[in-house]
Formats: sequence, C-alpha cells, structure tokens
Amino acid sequence: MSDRKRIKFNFFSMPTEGIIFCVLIIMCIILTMLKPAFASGYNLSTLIRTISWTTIVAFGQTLVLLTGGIDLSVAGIAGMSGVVSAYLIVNTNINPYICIILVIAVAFFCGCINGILIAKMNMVPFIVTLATGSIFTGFIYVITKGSPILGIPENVMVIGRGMLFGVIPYPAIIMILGCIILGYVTGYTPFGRYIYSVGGNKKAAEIAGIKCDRVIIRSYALCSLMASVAGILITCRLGTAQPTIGADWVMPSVTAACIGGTSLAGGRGKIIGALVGGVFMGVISNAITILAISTYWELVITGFVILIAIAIDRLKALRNHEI
Amino acid sequence: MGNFILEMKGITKEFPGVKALDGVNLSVCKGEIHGLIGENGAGKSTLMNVLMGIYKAETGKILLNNEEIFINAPSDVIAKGIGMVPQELNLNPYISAAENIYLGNEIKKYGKINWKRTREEAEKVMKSIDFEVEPTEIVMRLSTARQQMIQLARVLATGAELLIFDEPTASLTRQETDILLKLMKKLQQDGKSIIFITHHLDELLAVTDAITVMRDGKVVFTDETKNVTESVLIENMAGKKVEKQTKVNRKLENNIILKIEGLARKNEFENVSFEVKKGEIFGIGGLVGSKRTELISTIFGILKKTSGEIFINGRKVEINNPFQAIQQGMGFVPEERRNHGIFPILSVRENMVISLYRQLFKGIKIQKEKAKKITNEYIEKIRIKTPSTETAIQSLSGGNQQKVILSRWMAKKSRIMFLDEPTRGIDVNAKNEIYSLIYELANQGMTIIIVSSEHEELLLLADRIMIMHEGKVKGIVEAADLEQQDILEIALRLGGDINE
Repeated sequence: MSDRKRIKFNFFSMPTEGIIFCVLIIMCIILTMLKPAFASGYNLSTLIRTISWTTIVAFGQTLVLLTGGIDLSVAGIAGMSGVVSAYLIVNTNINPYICIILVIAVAFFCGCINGILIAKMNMVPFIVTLATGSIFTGFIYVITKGSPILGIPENVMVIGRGMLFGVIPYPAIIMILGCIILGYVTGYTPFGRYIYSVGGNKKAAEIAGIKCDRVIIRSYALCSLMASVAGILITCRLGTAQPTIGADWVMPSVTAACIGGTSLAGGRGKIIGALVGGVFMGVISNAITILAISTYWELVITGFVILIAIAIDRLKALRNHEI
Repeated sequence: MGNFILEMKGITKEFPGVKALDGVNLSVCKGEIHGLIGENGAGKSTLMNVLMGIYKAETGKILLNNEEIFINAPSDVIAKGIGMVPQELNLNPYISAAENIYLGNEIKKYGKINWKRTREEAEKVMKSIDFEVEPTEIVMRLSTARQQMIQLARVLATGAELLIFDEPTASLTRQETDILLKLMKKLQQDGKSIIFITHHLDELLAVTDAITVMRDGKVVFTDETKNVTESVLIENMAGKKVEKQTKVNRKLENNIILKIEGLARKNEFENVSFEVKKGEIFGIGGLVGSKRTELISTIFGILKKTSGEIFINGRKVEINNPFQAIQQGMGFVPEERRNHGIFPILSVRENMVISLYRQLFKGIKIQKEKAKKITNEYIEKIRIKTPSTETAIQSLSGGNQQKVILSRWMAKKSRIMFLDEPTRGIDVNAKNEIYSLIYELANQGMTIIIVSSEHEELLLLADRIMIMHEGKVKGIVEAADLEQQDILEIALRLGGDINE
C-alpha cells in the first residue's frame, strides 16, 4: 500500500509495440554479428521494400481491427487495383497517374460498400469481406482471363522500383508516409479517437453522440484505399499485373497488426504497431534467407513468432492485472 | 462456541501494490444469515473469491465445521457444500433451465446424460424454493429475477449447506427483492447457512442475524443484528460520519424547457405527454416493465418513435439519433454503465471528453493538454477518485465511473440530462455524493429527468414524479405529497389518470 512511485524500470509496463521493438533491435544486432551482410545497404533496402506492401495493407487493416471488425477483402482489392490500373495504363491514352488516382478512388468506394453492408445492415465483417473479397478477386480473372497484363511504361514503373538517394525505395517512403498520416489521424483527430471508442464499446459510443456507422464505413474505405495503394505499388515494381497480386496478404496484414499489439476484439492498438510488426516479420523472413535455413521453415517459424508475441501481450496483461 | 459452520482466520491476500485483504476474520454460525457489507473495493468480493477457490490467499486458514479445509479450485469448495449465487449470473442463456441447473453436475446413466431424470430433479429443486418454470424453458427468455432463481437452484442442486448471495438484489425490483428475502428466511428454516452481501442496509437489518462490516481490506465491525443501527453501519463503512442528503423543497419558475406530446413507440408505450420546467428534477417511477428506459431512450434518439412530438423551449425538434439529441443540449447516463456507458479500456480522460472532441479539435489536432485540464478540473470538482487522468476507467469503482459519465455531460454543458438508475450498484457513500451533485446541477439550472426503481431515491430527489405502468402514464404528482406506497398504488390503479 505504498504511495511512493516506483522509478524502477518495468519491462512489462511498456506498450506491446515497444517490447516487440526492443526484441526486434536485439534480433538485428545478433543477425549483424552472425552475418555482417545483414546490415549492408543492399540487403536493408531490399528488406524494407519487401515489407512495404504488406505493411501498407496492415495499416488499413489496423483501422478496421480497431473498430472491432476484420477486412478479408484486402487481397481482392489489392489484386483488382493492380490489374485495373495496369489495364487502363496499357490500353488507354489516359495519363497513367490519373489512372492510378481513379483506381484508388474506386477502391475507396468498394471499401465504402464493405462498410455500408457491415454498419447499416448489421452484417458480420468476417463474412461480408470474405464475400466481397471473392467478388473482387473474381473480377480480376474476368478482366485478365488468368494471364498477366504486360507493357507498363518505364516512367510509371519508377514508382515501384525507384530509390531516393539510391538506397531508400519509393514504396518504403510511401509506407512511412502512410504510417505518419494514419498515426496522426488515429491519435489526434476526432475521427481517429471515435474509431477507438466504437471498437471499445459501440453502444456507449452511440449514446455519447458518435455516428458509429459513419466511423465504420470510413475505416473500411481507408483500409481498401491502403490495400489499393499497395496493389498498385507492387504492380509497378513487377512491371506486369499478375492476377495473383495480393492473394497472400490477408493473414500477414492481420498478423503484423497483432504482433504490434492490436487487439482483434477492437479498441486497442496503434498504427505504429503495424509498422513494428511488419518489420519484425520481414526481418525474420530475411534472417531465414541469409542464415541459409531452408525456406520451408519460414511458415513454422512465423507461426511460433506470432504465438510468442501474443504470449508477451497476455503476460503483460497478467502482470498489470488487467485480467 | 463450537457451532460455527465457517471460520476464516487471518486471511491475507495481496495484489502487487495493494493489500486487498489484511488479516480478515469471519465467522458464520450454523443456520444463521450473516450480512457482509462494505463500500466498493472494501474486499468483500475478494474474500468470497478466496473462499470459493478463485483466488489463493497468502496467509490464513479456513475451517468448515471446525475442520481445516484446503482449497485449490472452485470444484473443491462446491464438493464441500459451499455454493455462491454470483452477482453477474453465469448461466448459459441458450440452453434449458434444467440443463443449467445440473451444468457441471450432470445426472448420468451409463455415461450419458439422463435427460428425463435431469428434468425431474430440476423440477424438484425448483419446487423446493417455490419457483415454477418449465424445466425445458430456454434461460434467455426468462427475466433477470427468474434467471437468478435458476442460479440458486443450481447451487441447491449441488447440495450446498452454506450459500453465498453476492448482491442478489442489485437488479431486482422491490417486489422481487421482498420475495427473495422471504426465500432466504425459508432456506434458513430448512437449516441452510447464508452469507448475504448487499449495499442495502434495510435488507440487511430485515433478514440477518449478524452483520460484518469491511473497509479497506479489513473487518472493522461485527455484531449481532439486534444490537445494530443503520447509522452505526454507515459510520463503520465510511470510516467517518456520512452527510446524508436530505430532501429539499425547491421553488421553480414556470419556464417549460421540454415538452413531450403524444409520444409512442409500437408495442412499448403510448400517448406519453408531459412538460418539464427549467431546473426541475423530474422523476419517472413505476415497476419494472413500465417501459421507462424505453421512453427516455426514445426521447434521446437511441430508439425510434412511432409517433409524437418533442418541443424544446417551445420549438419543435426532430431527434432521430443521439447526435441530434446532444446538439439540442441533451445528455444521457444509461442504466447499464458497463455495457452502454463507459469505454472500459480507454482512459478516464477519453471517457470524459469523448463528446467534446469536435470542440477540442483546433487547427490540425485535438488539444490534448486542454482535454487533460478539463478532466482534472472535474476530477477535483466532483471528487473522482482516480490515480490519474490516464488510468483505464475499468479500474475505477462504480461510483467513480458514474461520476466520469456525469462529468462528460457537464463538460458538454448539457441543459437537459437523462439519468437512468443513476445509483445502481453504487455504495452508500458515493450514492449520497451523487445525490448532492444532482441537486447542485439542478440548482445551477440543469434540467434533470431521472428514472429509478428505488422509490426512496425518487422521493428524495424529484420535484415531481411521473408514474408509469406497462407503457402508460398513470399520473404526474408533486413529490412532496407522496409516500412510497402511493407510487405503487398509482401505478397499479386501473383506468383514469390523475393530474396533480
């Protein structure tokens, strides 16, 4: 019953993303000691570009998770955005950048549809986005008939391939920008704080005068927007629009958010957490490559890492008597 | 004295930084009803959780029938004949009454559940407490009071000799409470011993044989009920003299701020009309099922009305959702604080300023410092006990959570405040603080509409009381002319209205 404040440093009093960040730094130091090549400019810039796609999707996913929902349609949205933008760029005379903006706008609209179905019609997010995701993915195959779209001009591919100062890939810059903007939105704007309150207790949010439907719809719309950006970026990186773009981004986007401390129950988490989680997963995958471990082990190791990350979160809750 | 059924000796339980129980002794005689009372956070629930094997105490021993028992898990305790009717019922709402009663204690034959006997036995147990419900009825369809009876039946089905009732009357109406208290007396006659936890002193004084008062993790008082008075209990609970709010007869100007005309909602209430003056405390009373919560929820735009009109300061307003209601200067403190009021994992600050974010958003961001300042202002002004503005609200006591929600609307400068059962589950001390706060707000010109099932509360606070029964207004009367039983009488009177 002492009122004295303990100044003692407590590992578990740090936010989850902070703990994961510390673990990440330790991991990087060990990796550098084992294989100095890890810290080379080339490796790091490849690493950061590889993680940027899923991490950008994870930012959007975090918004949706914060409202207490989940968006499984990000794969469909990303793939459709890549394919449609490539189709427009290759087959029409419209300025490529206008094509891209157009496609992002359409994706935003698709996200609105997700949100409307969930908020206004009270349907379950898991099923709604599973269904719409299937519809979007289906359109990709309808448009492409299964074959990739080739012939994206060099000056457009720069978005996905270029580097600032020769080391920082453009997609990574967009990822950082996304993190800053969405981090600011969630932390410092009424809309952002409403996301937390809707996820924390929807009924209470309504009584407090928050238009919950609007908050939910906007969250899904922003999530689709982020997925669309990622889909277009990777299309530019590859120079062709593959129908399979984004197909395996759904679970990694959720995983990155969760490793970074976002709760699937809603109301708890941070955008920066998704960045830390994304980098964390990227480093593990990179470590497997440079330590020459068989890539077949990657899924096994990733699975264990997720369990450990969640265990840390529970341990933290236990220590702080949240349960 | 060899006739103790239960003795807990020197029980200590520590959570990091908090000594939740500090050398607690509790002795319960065989066949007695033993009252346990104390403010929220006094340690009553922790003590019972130790007894039920949910927490493990650091020191101390527990004797059952003069024999020391060692408890490792809740199942040990149940096997020894101790059973608890918890405050938060833990029934499975989707399965039948009979299955719930024998859940975890299934009647089996050759390894499979014998449904026929389960139903028969369940019926027998229910009959023993004068409770009749089809054993096959799905629990979800029963009222809270009836669900509680099923919970009690479950405890009796395990053959418990010592029953613990943890605030069983918190969500019951007056009549239901009376029935339950009678039932406890009957169980006592059948030879059961009972530990009865409640916030209601009158209930304690009515049925118990002995009372123990806890404060800050210690037992501060224990005596036979016949030697005890209400004020002794209150003083011991609070550790000081409590200022009890007294009735104030207030003079109001005839300045109508809110007028409801012919409001109706299909299958719930119909033709509700009333006027409320500026600064008035307007009570709405009646029995459970009178649709009072639905009425104020409809005025506030949470539910949709079927017909009727709402006027504020003589001007007709359209309210279709809470957002519009708040724009009209209304505020709402819901009955179910945990489910509808607070954002449990968010901080005290966010819970308080959530409705202010639009005003606080200046330039490009929310002014967090200003939000903190406002929060601190109210923490000081209405004495909210919290370690800081950034503490998660779920770790505060019920009374303090309620104060945070009240200050949400005070900070929003609401002119008309709806309070739905504002003191439910709140201890005596915090209750009186909330009463004086309500008076203070009304004196400052805030109009307060309060729904309460505690008639003393309405009579204490309200200037006028509207009495409803099954969705109809039965009368609007000056509170000064009323006695408690009048409310019931008016509610149950057939036909015609009376207006003052």
